[in-house]
Amino acid sequence: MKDLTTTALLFAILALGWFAPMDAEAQVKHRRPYTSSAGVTAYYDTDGVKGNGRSRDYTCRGDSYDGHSGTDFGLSVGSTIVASAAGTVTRTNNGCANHGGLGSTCGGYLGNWVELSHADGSRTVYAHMQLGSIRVHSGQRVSCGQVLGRSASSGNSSGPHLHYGSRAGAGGSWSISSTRATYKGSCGRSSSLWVNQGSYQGAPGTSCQSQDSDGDGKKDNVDNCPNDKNAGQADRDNDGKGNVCDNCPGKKNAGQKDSDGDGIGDACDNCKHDKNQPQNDRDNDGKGNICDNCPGKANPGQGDRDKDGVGNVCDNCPDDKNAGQKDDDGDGVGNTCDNCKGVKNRNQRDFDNDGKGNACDDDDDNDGIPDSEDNCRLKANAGQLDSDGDGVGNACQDDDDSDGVLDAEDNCRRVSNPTQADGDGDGIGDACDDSDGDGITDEEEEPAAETLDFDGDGIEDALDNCADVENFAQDDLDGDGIGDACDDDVDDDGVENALDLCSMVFDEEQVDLDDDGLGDACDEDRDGDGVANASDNCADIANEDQADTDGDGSGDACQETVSAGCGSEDCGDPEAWELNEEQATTTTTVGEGGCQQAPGNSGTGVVWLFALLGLFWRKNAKRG
Amino acid sequence: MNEFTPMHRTILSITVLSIATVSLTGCQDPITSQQPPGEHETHRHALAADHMHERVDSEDVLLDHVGSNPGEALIARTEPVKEGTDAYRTMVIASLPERLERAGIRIAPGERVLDAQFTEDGVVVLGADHVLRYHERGMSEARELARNALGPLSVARGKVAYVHGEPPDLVLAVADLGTGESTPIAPSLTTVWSPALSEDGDAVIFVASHEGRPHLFRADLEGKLESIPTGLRTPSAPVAPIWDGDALIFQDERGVVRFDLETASIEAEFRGAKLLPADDAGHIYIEEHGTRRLLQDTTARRGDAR
Repeated sequence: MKDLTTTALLFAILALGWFAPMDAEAQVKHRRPYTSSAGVTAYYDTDGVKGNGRSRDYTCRGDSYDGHSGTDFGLSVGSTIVASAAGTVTRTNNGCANHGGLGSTCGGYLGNWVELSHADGSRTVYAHMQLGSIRVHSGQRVSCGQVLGRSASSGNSSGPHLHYGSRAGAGGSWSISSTRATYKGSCGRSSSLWVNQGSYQGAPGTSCQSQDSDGDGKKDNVDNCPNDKNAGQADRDNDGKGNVCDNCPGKKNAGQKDSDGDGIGDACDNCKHDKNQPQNDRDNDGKGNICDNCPGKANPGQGDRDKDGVGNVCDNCPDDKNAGQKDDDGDGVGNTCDNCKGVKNRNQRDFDNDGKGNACDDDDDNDGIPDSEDNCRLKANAGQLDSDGDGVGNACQDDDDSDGVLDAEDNCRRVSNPTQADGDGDGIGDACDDSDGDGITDEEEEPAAETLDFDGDGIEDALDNCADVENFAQDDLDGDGIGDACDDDVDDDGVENALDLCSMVFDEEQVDLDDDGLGDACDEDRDGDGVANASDNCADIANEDQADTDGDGSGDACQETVSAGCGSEDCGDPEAWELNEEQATTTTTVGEGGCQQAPGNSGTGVVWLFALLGLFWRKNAKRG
Repeated sequence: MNEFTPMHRTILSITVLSIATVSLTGCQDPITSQQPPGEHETHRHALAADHMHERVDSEDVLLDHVGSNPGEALIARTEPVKEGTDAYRTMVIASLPERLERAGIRIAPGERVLDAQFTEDGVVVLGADHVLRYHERGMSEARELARNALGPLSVARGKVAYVHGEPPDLVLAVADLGTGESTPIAPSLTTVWSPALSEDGDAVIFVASHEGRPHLFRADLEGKLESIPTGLRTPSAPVAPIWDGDALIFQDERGVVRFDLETASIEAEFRGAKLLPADDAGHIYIEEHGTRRLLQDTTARRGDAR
């Protein structure tokens, strides 16, 4: 009797030992791996022996075949196959004909297939699928019931069906010992791996297991990240997606839309339609390099006047479409708009405005004298007058007669008279009173047109502020006595006209915000966003869209605020700060508490504060 | 595919001259007649998928043969398989060649096998139990080479290539019939099928699932692995591909192709044909419309490779 008891105990222990490992693994339960109602054509062979010519299904009957390592479901070609439980796609194979036939080796006998790994380490395989139907890829997370592809008869197959294999986590491969039956039965498992295994030869149920796939203590149906451990369920942006699986944890995006599929939600993707993980943004302008129309220069507005895909700020022809940016002479000005294509001339000076840059114009001042012979290349002086015979035309000299007295002060400009003697005190030097030395004073002589009004602009030379260049208007912007037509620095800002970014506006600093070659002082669209300064709600930051969320007349671009990543409850969150720093590159300010504030708002507050203090002080002063 | 090449014409000429007819007792499709060479299908472009009908019932299969003498063929009959399943193609040996009996090699008619191939000194048999055994002349017992093995087997110069494991984890190995030792080949590739040994047995071409698609690789026994530019067609038939040095001749669901390894292109295609095992003399045959025809004679170059 004692022996019998011992034997029974031993048997019980052995039996427990046999079943326990199976059940310990059985954390993940599965649904029907397809959507139709097809039943089973062959079960897993539970007899554990390959090649004995016999088979045994989970009920101890023979609806299996020798050595079968999975369950075959009789799906017709094209039936939808779905994940039997949530998991990750580990491998796929696609490239086998839909009808492999008996003995086909394609895909390692399985034809086209998908393998999934599940939270408990187990794996499932879905085999003999339709060529080209697989809709998932390695590394992709799938949810229970998610479509994997369609069925067929690829690989070693005697007709359309789905081979559904399941293996335990241990071992790391589909070894013979790790494949397993999935059904509960007298010759099967002690507990089913199906949520509802259905009737014999029928289809398993379609309900998914309410499980805790990531093992964080939260069931999948209430877990805000069912596949990522996050016991705390932190959800910074309150969008229902936990931070650890939120594709944009700093901005509310419940839909998790990710148009380019790069894992970064559209809501915070710096290139929504181009895969870019990581989000490299060399110029920190909020646009990722791969979609930035000027990745090397900050241009958050992405202004592109000529719509050639190259942003204004780095377009070598911002007003002429030239996507290729061809620039044969390498002067930084594209061929399309270069006034001198074959010669480097970054400044594009074209003195005579004939469309041909000086650098390649044979007659820069268009006075009919070729530059090579012109004694004053940049000022039209068809007469080539050179009073002092020094080879430099008068038009280019301030002291035509080289007598040491500047033309503007010389009482006889074309005759050397360093003493400026003017015996009759008529303002015309003696040297000119009888300039031709014929004994008849100039006053008595018939005036010679060519000497009195050299440039023929109707202004006598003695009075002409630019005697050698026709300038009837006598414009003199800077009032220095030298007419603009002759003045090398028309606006008197210390920058020669030739180099001046704004030659007609006093502009010592020469700032050019949008780098378009036109100084801000005279640029009607300083930020190059296509909106004139006068109408631009943020004139110094490119903001083509002129977005103005709060409708205060000041564009959002000038008002980057805390709202993007620093909500009231998150101001101390370092991650939120990182986000803000990226977004607010130019005009944002940082408040005392660490939160960023709109400059407009803070400025207004300070003004009001000072105004109130002022009033208070005046009131007290009067009382005092 | 390239233009009709001189090599191709040679193949066809040889076919005309060398067609042998072999009557296989018990075969469902006795090989009886000679097919005019003009009926060869040499398609230059990939053809629409030609579904291979599932063979649910049994059929006779020529596993291997020596020369063209029907008495030297190893014939087996496939076991019936339930439709809509994926049981392995298991066969029962139907007739034994006399040379095996003469050599004292006993494989009982009725033995269940997945594949079997002659060697110089015997026969390697992959049993229905997935155990690979070598029956050698003069040895009373077969030597076990591997377990959990799968075919098709490729034999050359005293070596046999096979895969082992459980799908989709099938890895490649080559066993030395002399020592009985197996060498794993390209173990990093875990879904491998249809190996073909080189004529000298020192290298093997095979298909592996690579980046989610079937891809051809070449590996030597020292571990060097090379990728072969691969098109849409790769070996997938129960009979092993044949690597003749310049080309890989293989069968897939559409028929038999000769894939030029130099140009990585299909040089000739025989739509609907089946590839038969090469004989020991180096003749490569296909079966087309129930007729066996010589596809290629590599005797001169190859010598006795088996």
